[in-house]
Amino acid sequence: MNLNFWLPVLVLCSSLATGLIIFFLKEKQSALRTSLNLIGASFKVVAVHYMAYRLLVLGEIHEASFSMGLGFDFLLRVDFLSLMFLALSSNLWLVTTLYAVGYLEGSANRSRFFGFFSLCVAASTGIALAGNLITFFIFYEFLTLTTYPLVIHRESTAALEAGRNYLWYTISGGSVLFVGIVWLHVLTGPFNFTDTGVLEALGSDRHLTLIFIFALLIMGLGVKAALVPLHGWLPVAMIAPAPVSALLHAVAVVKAGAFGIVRVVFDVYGQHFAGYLGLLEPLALVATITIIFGSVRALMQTDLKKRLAYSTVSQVSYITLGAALLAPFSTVAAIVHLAHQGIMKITLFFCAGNIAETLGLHKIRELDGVGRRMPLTSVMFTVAAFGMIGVPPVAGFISKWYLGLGGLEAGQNWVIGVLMLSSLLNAAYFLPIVHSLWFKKPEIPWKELRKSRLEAPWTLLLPALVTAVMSVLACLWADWIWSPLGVARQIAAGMGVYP
Amino acid sequence: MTWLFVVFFPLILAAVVPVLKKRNFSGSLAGALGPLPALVLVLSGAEPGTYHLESFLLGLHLGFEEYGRLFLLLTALVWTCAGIYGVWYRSADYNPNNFTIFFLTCMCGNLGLAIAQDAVSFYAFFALMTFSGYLLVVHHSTPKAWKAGKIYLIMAVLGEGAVVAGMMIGVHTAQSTVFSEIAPVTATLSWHHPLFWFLLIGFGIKAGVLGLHFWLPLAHPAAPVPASAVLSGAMIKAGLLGLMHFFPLGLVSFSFWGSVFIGLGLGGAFFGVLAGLLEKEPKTILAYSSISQIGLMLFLCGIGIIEAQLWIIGLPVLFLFIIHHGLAKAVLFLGVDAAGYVKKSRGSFYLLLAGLVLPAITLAGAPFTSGSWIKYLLKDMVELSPGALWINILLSLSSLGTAMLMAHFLSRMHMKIADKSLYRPGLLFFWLGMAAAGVSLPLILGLFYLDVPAIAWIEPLIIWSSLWPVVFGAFVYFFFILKKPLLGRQAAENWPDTVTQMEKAWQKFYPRWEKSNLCDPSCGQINFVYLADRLIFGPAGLKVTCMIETLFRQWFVAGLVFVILILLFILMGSLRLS
Repeated sequence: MNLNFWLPVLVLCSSLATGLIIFFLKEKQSALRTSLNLIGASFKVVAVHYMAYRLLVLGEIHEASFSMGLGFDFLLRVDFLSLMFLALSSNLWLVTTLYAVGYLEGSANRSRFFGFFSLCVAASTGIALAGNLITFFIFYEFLTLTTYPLVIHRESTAALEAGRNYLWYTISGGSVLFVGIVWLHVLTGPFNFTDTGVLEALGSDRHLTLIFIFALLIMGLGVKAALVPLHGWLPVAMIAPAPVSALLHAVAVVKAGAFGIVRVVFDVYGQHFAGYLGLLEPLALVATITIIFGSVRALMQTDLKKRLAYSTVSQVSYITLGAALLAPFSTVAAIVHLAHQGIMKITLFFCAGNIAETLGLHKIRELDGVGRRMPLTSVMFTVAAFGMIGVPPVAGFISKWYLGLGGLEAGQNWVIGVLMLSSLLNAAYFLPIVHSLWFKKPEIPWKELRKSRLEAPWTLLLPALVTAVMSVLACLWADWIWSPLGVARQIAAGMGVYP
Repeated sequence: MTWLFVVFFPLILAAVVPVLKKRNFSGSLAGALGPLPALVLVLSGAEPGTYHLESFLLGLHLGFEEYGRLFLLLTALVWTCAGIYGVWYRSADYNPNNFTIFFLTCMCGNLGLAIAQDAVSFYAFFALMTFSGYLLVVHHSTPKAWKAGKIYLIMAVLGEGAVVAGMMIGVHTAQSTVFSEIAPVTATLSWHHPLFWFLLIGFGIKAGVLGLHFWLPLAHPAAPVPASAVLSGAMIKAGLLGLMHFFPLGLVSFSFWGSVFIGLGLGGAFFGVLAGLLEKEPKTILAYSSISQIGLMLFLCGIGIIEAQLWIIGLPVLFLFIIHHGLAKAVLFLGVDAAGYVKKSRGSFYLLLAGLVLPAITLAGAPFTSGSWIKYLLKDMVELSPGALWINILLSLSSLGTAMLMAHFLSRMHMKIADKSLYRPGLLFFWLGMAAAGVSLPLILGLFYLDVPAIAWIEPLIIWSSLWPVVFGAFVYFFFILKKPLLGRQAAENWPDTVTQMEKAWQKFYPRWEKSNLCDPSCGQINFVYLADRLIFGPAGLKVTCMIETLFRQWFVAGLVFVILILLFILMGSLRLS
């Protein structure tokens, strides 16, 4: 068996097949459904890590290619950049599945939910594995369609409205992206992410067109990456159940957009060529506006999940900013923040979900004194919040540190100011929450929605605990070669941008 | 491994404390044990080489290098004093186990940053110290503590931001995170490099430098006494250490930054005294005295920056100063609480008084104390630098001021003792031991351990020069200031307090802001969506959209656009073909 061919296919199928089988299960077969889910997710984690080992240590190239005619290939390929996203999506799929099982216990339509949940992960895996723009686009749109049923899962009026909003944004984004991709291929013919310098070879008379196409691509991807002003769908989509929000914010949708931007900058245009065309400064500007604007908006929210959503808008743009700065350190920052933001934000959403499920609290002002009732959840929330602010020893610090150094290296000293301002704003909207969790006294007695021996069912606690511990370890052992940072450095070195 | 054990031992203890029973001394005992390994390491005189742990953070470097040994000694000593006192310390709203946990985590940060030799781990320990320090400040959860905590946290977050920005710039310029490689590079930078500004603000907040100090007189007194002792004795020195790591002391002469340090330092020295004289609460007086003393230390650093060669003498003096102030201030803070446990009629009262007076006159620089030694050396150093005469006069005035402030502190304490009558000899005994150690240790360390130039202790001129400011200061205080309490009180009540002023400004500004056009009334902040909405749904928005609508309804406009589009596509197609 040729592992180099089969591994990517298997990794993709592990979630795709799980999802498809689950649709045919009856609502009551929850044990079977859960075990199927967990087996699929565990298999994927093992396979992805084995693949990472083969790529990073043995230097094997994994590739599965099918012709789609006209010279276009359906190409699954594991390169350095895909690795980070793959590892993130597989690991977080496992924990989120566990969380979702606990969260949705006893609620309706679970087969539909878990089916689409797996398909959504399959789509993000596909996005990671895609070896060219066409394959990328197929999975990108697949992701849009598979997340829609998740967003409207509760089928309330608000959920349906949010779903409609989501579709409007993403489908229009997708169509803009499609125009960009088609236009690009009209100029160049079929090409893969590995064919560097295709666009550079086009000649200077095409530069204006290339700039225009870049704008189209970024606009298309920016919808999912929630770049301001294309971010409107994200806070509305908060209506979805907590595991969905967690997945949306940490792995699937928002990350897919950010990952796409990184792909376009590094593997389609090439960072230096993009810089030569003068595309990076506007991109950095958009990212900066998003970072600040997202934080300012987060500050105004009174709903916990909405505040977290705006925080995502802000934090994900660090990735875009990292890609837009022409320096090795910021590239590392962009790659490592893919993972760091994922584990920290998923922890926050898990905790928010725990609180909402156990005590029925959604508003920030209701959170007073929750630390006494749910100490573990509050500890984990605190850890992740400090990570978001960028306080060591939590992962966010490493991202900010590298991004700042990258900014200085690229000669863009204002990045330091942006980071400072953003950290201050992060502190301004996270510390009051932490403060009320621990130090305020509850005004009204809580409803107890769920009774359990621990502060919440273990299926809701364990995933958050795992990701919280991961976010601390990612900073404490940052310099280890297999930490997210270590891998990000290896990836950047493999991409030829890091010494 | 020794290094890791020294730094992380408090954390291990902190993990054990929750397991221990409440209302039991074993919990608080952990607080006293925390700094023990550090103390043993320094006092054993061992010279373990710099330790490098590859994969921890971005490469952890722990070691003594130039400053580490002394700062570790100071930190360990002050924390030990506070920890021992904490074993017996009890008061209302005080939860020993909770307090000890945060006391220990904060201690870990403070010990760690003393010996951290790279920017990233220094910052990590600094942040750990700062944020667990917040928990110490608000421990009593009184309204006063919450207010102090709020200001502390806001200033801390601002400071952390400035510190990390400055560090990034430093690390980027030096292409290394290790301090020993950063300092030579910062020496080559021009004076207006942003690095210096960021770091002065960031570390200045922690150190309580004039202008950035206003959180300090709120936070230090609000905390439980053991925490006040470490806040004032050890933690503000962390800011100073940060400045010493990044400003090129003794490497190059920077007249601009030297002048800034000297100016801020002397300014702080006088401001602390004046502001302290107007306060009534003994702990607040001590906090202002810390601002004043840190000012003098900053002044000393300033001389080292202005005249690089003077730093060879300056550094040991600064070391002595840091130890001297740290211990004396810790003992005084603890003494504020210890004073609650004596009866005025008993002999213990006189012991307590001796225990308070000794560190107080040490700080004021009475003869035969480390204070007079430092003052003499300070003046000696100033002799060699420009503007000596004026600075010398100012220094004498500042000792006079310190003496007055200490007299004020003692008289306020004296009034306070009268109202309490709980008698606890055990606690008093330990505190007296600390007071004795606090006064004598700097002398012993200075004579046998630090490389401080010796002075002729018994020469009449030297005795006189250190005696007169203390006597005169005490005289002025007791015969002029104390006799006119009304004058002082009125001034104190009219004194513009920075925090109150800022709050007032905020209260004045906020309603105005709420009424302004930029503010969204529903959330009270800038809301761009609200602005956009107003623009779109406002009369102008309606008019413009209607205008466009009517324009497009006319067939020739639509037709024209259509034709232009067709032409554009043809043009693009022909471009593609060519």
